[in-house]
Amino acid sequence: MARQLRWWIAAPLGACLAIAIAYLPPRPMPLLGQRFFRVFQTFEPPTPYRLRVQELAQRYRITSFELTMREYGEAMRTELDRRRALELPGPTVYFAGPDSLSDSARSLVRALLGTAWSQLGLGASKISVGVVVRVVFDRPPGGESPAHMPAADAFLLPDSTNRATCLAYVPIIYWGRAGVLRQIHPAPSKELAELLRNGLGTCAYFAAFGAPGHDIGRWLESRHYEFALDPWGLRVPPESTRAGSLLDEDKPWFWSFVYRYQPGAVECMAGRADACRRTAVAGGSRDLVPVVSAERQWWKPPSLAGADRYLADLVDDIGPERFGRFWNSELPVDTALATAMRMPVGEWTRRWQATIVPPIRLGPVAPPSALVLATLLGVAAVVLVMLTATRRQVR
Amino acid sequence: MSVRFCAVVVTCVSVSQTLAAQSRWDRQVDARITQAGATLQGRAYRLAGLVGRGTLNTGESATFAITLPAGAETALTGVCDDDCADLDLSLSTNGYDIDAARGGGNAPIVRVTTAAPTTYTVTVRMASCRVNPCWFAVGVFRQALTTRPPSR
Repeated sequence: MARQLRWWIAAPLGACLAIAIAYLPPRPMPLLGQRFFRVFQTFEPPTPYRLRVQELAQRYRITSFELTMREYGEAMRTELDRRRALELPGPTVYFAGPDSLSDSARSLVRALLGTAWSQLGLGASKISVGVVVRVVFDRPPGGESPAHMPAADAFLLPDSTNRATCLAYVPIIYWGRAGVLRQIHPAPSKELAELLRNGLGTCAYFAAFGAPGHDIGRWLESRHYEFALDPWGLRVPPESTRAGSLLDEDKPWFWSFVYRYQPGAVECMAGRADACRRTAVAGGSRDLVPVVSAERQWWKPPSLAGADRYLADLVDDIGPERFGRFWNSELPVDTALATAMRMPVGEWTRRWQATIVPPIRLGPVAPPSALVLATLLGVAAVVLVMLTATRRQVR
Repeated sequence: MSVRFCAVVVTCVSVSQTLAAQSRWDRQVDARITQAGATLQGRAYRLAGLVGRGTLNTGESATFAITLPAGAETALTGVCDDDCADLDLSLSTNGYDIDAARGGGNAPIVRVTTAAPTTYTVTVRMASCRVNPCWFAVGVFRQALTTRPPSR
């Protein structure tokens, strides 16, 4: 074979290979496209030493938070007992931190929490709820969160030492910004009402349905109650959850964030019911702590997109009575969920997931734009070869 | 006179405060104990006190120790709030069950007659509670000793 002919065969093959590497999955986005979003790719996986340090720091924060919350719980004990004895509906509210909050602001917070309580259909409950509200007006020196407390809602759940009290911690952080509670005579705002309502979070489930059954409780605890962070009756549409999870498919970072989820979650987004079931009922961490935090870590997504509202949407779908039977069930998680949903867990979860994230396509399929470009390049290569061949001269 | 009057007032105030601080579920348990007492009174049992009370979730259990004197026949009854469907009760000593009531509803009763003062372990298990936790209590009822006429 002539040397030149070999070159002409190798060159198109090499070009095809380059196109294949650039456009075919598993990367859902062309290499050129990815380069623009390098900001999300630059985080190297942490070293084992760093992971250990982070784990220890996390344990310290949890213990510190638990201790502080138990102190607040003791301070609220008399009022909690009084409300329980008199069967007064609503949570006990405790204001932590500096006493710079006006009396009317405190009354407003109490009133909004009382309204949220009745909107959730809660009355006098077996498990009382204490809400610790901490309003932070100014940024503390060094930018740390106050007294190493979480910067998002967190909960100290009932345990063997105190089975009948659930404590919620609701930080309202202004850090120099203007806010309703800064005013001397504050007026109720929708944002503040939503913030306080969501602050009841996991405790709302305990107040409404009691402590979960054995298997359900272990399942939720192992997953740090990630499915029960938002109370039901959400007025937030799924679209806003989508945007909050950075899973808006119109945005250029969509695929980058999709692939931050675990494979099971990605499969579920693609509408695979079996993966949805596996991901939903899977057990989580063995590190069981009575503290639940709603703090978001954007680099560490939940097990399913929009997991915070999974059980909230389930309550809205099947009603509180049926949900209560599930919550207190002693059946295995899978069976209890399927009984409550009246359909396979995977199917319900698949449908629910589709309301959060429009189903994505997975598999070895190149995007149409890439196909067109590849075809054009191929045609160009063939035309170039033909033109060269027509001008070939035999010596 | 005045000291006695003050003591009565203090007792009344403390009792009323205790009652006032009770929750609906505590009151349900107290009502059940009273009801059990009324039932057992017909068999000459009288309430001698509570071994223990508290809250349990489904599947959880609690143990209490009780020392019973010799001679009298004693009945222990477990009671629980309205959400409780099944409560188990057992009485054991040295690891051996003396009597047990399991799977029989929400008012189990165990009985024992002691020949000598003995310390027993009372185990109460919440077998089924519709809304966790369920409030429970275990009451001790002793049979009043019947006095027989002296024989000649």
